[in-house]
Amino acid sequence: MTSINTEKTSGAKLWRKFKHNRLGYWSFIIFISLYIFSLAGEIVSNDKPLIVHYDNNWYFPFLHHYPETTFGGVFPAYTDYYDPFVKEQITKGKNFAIYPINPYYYDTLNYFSADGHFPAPPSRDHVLGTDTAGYDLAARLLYGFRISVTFAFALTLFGTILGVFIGAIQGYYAGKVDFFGQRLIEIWNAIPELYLLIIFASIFSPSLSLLFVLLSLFSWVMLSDYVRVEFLRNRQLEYVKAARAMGLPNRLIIWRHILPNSLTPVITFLPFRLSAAIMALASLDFLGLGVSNTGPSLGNLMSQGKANLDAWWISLFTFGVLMGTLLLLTFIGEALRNALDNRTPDPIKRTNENLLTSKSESRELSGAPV
Amino acid sequence: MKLISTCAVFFLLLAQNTYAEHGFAQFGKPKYRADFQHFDYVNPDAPKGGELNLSNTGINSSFDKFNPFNLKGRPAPGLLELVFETLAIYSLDEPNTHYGLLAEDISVAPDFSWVEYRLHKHAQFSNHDPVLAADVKYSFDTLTSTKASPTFVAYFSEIERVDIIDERTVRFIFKRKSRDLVFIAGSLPVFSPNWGLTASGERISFENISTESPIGSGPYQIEKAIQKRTISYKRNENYWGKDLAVRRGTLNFGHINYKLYKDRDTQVSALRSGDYDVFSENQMRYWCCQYIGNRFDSGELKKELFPHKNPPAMTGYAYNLRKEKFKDVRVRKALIYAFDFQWVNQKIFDNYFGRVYSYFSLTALEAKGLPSEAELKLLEPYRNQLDPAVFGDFVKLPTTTPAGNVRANLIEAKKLLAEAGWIYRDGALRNASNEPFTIEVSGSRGPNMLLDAYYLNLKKLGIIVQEKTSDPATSRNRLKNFDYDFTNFALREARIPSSELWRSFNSEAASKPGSDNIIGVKSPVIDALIKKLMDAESQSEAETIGKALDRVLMHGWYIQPWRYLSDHYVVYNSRLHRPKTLPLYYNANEWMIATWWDSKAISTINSLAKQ
Repeated sequence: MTSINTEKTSGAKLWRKFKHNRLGYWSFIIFISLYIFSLAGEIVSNDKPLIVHYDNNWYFPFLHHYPETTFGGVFPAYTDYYDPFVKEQITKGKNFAIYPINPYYYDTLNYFSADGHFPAPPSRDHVLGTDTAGYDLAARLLYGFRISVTFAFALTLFGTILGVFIGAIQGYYAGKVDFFGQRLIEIWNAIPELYLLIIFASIFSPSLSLLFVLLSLFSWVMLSDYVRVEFLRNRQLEYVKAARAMGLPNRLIIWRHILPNSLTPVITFLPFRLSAAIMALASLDFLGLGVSNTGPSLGNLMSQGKANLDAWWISLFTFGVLMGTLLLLTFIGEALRNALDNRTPDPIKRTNENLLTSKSESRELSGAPV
Repeated sequence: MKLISTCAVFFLLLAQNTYAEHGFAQFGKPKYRADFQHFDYVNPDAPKGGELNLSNTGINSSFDKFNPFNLKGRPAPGLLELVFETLAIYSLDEPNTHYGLLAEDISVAPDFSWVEYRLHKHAQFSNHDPVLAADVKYSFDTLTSTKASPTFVAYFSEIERVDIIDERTVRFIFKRKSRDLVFIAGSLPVFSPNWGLTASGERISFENISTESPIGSGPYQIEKAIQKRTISYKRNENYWGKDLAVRRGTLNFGHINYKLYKDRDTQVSALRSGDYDVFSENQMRYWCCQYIGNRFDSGELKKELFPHKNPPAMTGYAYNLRKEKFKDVRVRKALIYAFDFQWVNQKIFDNYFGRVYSYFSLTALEAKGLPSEAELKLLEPYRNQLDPAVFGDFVKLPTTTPAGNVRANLIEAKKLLAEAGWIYRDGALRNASNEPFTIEVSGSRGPNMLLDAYYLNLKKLGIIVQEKTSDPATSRNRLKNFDYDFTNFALREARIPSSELWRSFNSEAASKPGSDNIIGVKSPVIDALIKKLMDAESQSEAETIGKALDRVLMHGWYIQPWRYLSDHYVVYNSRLHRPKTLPLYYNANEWMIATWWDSKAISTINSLAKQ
């Protein structure tokens, strides 16, 4: 009971300390709002009108699929709401249509655009311009951000759970379990991740789920090292010995007593792991090993930007989104670290040094696990 | 006595039927007479010297050997053009004529079953050995053996063998009697059998010759090569052929250097910063927007269009005729109607391209309007095997100029599909047996700039487009076994169409895996017409047959026609000058290497003279 209480209070304390760091706090608010905004992408940026009033009937194209014949056209399969014919049908007389603010989905080809050749520079039609194939850059960035962050959340969550679980088992039981566990991890770590990805990308048609599985296989290793060390330290402390003496089963000791006291590295690393996952996805897309097809992808836009230096808007805006995301996550991470660090009285002053040292430490540790 | 008389008869026959000429034209007479001094499109007084810096022009961004003929490894750029010479070379201002280079004269059998080349007395290899008939035979035998790359074997496959007539005369015997094989024989590169002989007298087998310095007869020799990065050639001052009429005013640069780039964007940036001198651009994305900066503003680098008359080859996308759904000509026509070439040209290529509209676009062989009487006479015997449309107007490809016609084209496509039995129901275009119409296309990981708009149009018609990404090896294998729906297709560019048409359209090859008949055309009419075209005796006969064939092929709606350029888009350093007269049929790079000169070379010569 006591430990739960302390956890609650330490949670509240943590939040208070985190809030105290204005930069980190606001970064957190902005990041979460941006993500929620992007989740509502279909309403904000879509090629289908939200509402169409045609011949005294109401239609909701962004929710339902209507063939062109509904609006007096001839094609039974699909309605291109950009076709001048369809546009005229749904706007003439009493009919009207309400389009989203940015009237493009990430794979909307503005077939009837008045632009010159693609990639088209920012204009009234396309606020941020288009990419080389004529897709709206703003829409692609919005959906690209959404998919990157969602992917990163999923990867981080899964990697963290797995890492904590494995680290906890190793650290708590120590001895032979730890010894053999470590050796297995060393072997696992020796598998070259990138080659594996390249090989799998050529066997299976690349998809987000495949990337998720492959990246998950390796993303837990570093974290499990930290958790293991924390567990190794904590398992010898008096309160654990006391709990054991009172006959509490192992799983409860792990769950209730040691885990809450070993979460510092886990929480501290969360934002950095998020940004690492975003970068991993972007770099794989950049190399052409990532998401296939017309899916929105920041990495793919980066490589287009590299190939078309004169189309400055592609590189500039993509870089802006990517850098903004990573910067926000770094600020959040810093604030979180300071909030968790009990030793430093003045958090803001020490931030930068801490970040630097911990990064180099983490590299060493993951490279040569003890 | 008997011997003498047979000899006399033999010589009489020889005198009657064959003429040893300085050149050979496929039809008619060569433009340049035997005593010509130089080609019209060169500057005979071009100064020699200076240097030309090129970047990699082919696919190879690195090299590891100096042997362009064997299979293993990647050859350095420029070897074939600079170090080796062929028996004859093409003039660049006639459709199909070649003139002796290593050969002093050319004799062709009256029935075109062989060609004979008599070699120049002075012709010599870079090691000062004379070029003899035995060397020609050695080169041919090597290139058609398993020691050489299969490309050469395939290229020379219609030549039966080479006979040595005397020390300096060789005869190429053809498998098929044809005028165009003369040109194939004439393009044989000749090299010395001593190439690959080590100092200790050991012989390296040809397939293993790689960095051994090549022994050819060409005007340049390798000066310096750094693997993967650069190769420099130096003009041979004692080049045997410098006074030949076909060489006068050509190959003027003292040094030619190739710099290699691994990445196209880097290559473009390097040109911007003046790392090399010339580039012939074929991607309008780069041409329109990337050649900017100080060097262009100051006039050091110039952008110029050089018009040419190279006939555009038929290229485009083909539908697999082996699949039931593509067998109906109306379906193919509908699929071609759904494609909006003008959109791609405007949105992606900034309107730089023209669209191929015939199998012989821009040549005298292209069909126009209604068939002439001569064409009708050719087509009449096949009337019951042909679509009646063939006897009517020539195919007009669907267009969307003025813009907005795409809707009309799509409605036409829908109508054609309905006629062929494909009606939309239950979420897809279906035939009588309820199968949905699907097209599997090779997918890409990024957006597919060229075809996304086409797929969108197909989607509007209710066709299901399945994109499938696969690695190059798998795709190649599937294409080899004709297991595809939709693929890109290109005929080889040819000034006068010949065997490449036969390889791509003959019925027999349609069922042979790995053959060039990728589309799967099986038509006795097309077979017969191509055969006639290959045997044409004169230019006018070839034109009539070509027009008739064009009608049959175009009315088959086999290929979704694609694009061509009628100019060379060249970026060059203003230091380099060119002859006033442009050739007609030429490759920009070869033309620049052969006929341009370095204006700095004059000033160096002058200053040396002053000293």
